[in-house]
Amino acid sequence: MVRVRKPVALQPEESAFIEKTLHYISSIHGAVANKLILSTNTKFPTRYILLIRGLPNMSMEDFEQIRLMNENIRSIQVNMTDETIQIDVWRMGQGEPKKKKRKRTNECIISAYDLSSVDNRDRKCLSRLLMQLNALEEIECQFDIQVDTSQPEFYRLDLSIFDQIKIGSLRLVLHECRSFCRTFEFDFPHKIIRAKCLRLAAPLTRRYLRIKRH
Amino acid sequence: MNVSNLPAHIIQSVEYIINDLHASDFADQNVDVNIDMVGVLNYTMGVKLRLTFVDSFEDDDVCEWRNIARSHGASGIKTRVHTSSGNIDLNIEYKGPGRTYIPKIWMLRSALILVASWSYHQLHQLENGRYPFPTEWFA
Repeated sequence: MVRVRKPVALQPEESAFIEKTLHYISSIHGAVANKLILSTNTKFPTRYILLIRGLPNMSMEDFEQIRLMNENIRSIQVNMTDETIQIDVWRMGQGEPKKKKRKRTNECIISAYDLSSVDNRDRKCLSRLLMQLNALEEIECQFDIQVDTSQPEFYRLDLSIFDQIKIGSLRLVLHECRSFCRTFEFDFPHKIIRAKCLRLAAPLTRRYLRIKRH
Repeated sequence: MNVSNLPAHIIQSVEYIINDLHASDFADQNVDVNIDMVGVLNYTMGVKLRLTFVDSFEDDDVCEWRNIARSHGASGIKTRVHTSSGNIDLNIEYKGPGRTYIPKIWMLRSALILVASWSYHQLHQLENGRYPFPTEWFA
């Protein structure tokens, strides 16, 4: 006898979160509202999963905004190959977030990158960033990078990552490399993650606050 | 900018493995199965394959994949099933630099043993009565 589990209905708050997430993404510059495609998996008893396609360029800030909209988010994963994000959310009153246990060491990474176009002083920094990314549990495949050295103050790294990555893991990498790497941008239409890394030789640009008197 | 370090014989081997997977009993049971190469592994020599449009699979199928991989020179496989998307990821692993890692502590210990042996040999040559060879200790 075959039993097909019926989807568990979403609570009004959960439906509201889905609507607000889509509304937020459609408000991002470059987004086309009618190209966003939402798939949901509501068959799990303790959580539900959203899969969104047709995304515009997104930044880490955008993911932080989505995370702020719901405190029950279990994980947000990006898949640049499929141009999707997958948001895994605990249902109301279910589950607690668990910490990741396993972490691969850098010693078993065999990926090699040609950073000959990069200044000698910056190679260690970029290598560290790439090794940190390779050491993530989710990343099992070698990925391709393109380094844009045309800017005098920073390098732009275009990363073509084939594996699905958790935003939380990327946030940890960003924290580890915070001295030189500022942010990741997700260019879904081009299937690229962009990292902006400061050049060590470049001076810091200072911000001036101007107060106007009326 | 990525320096691919996958030798030609491994690429050839992977092609044979994909052909054999298409000709396997598993493929007979799953007529729509599609096998794509996702990328080159970053923790050892090998590649990641993704099987899509899979209806069902059993323990025997995993054994069959392992046998196919080993018959073409792979050292092992790792499988991961994504039940939400219905995909199966198959990591075909080969022996390579990732597996021949020798811990530094063992290299240091070996060097210390060599130095100690050489020192004792020098002492034996100076005063062989006082510093006999280990074979003579129990004579």
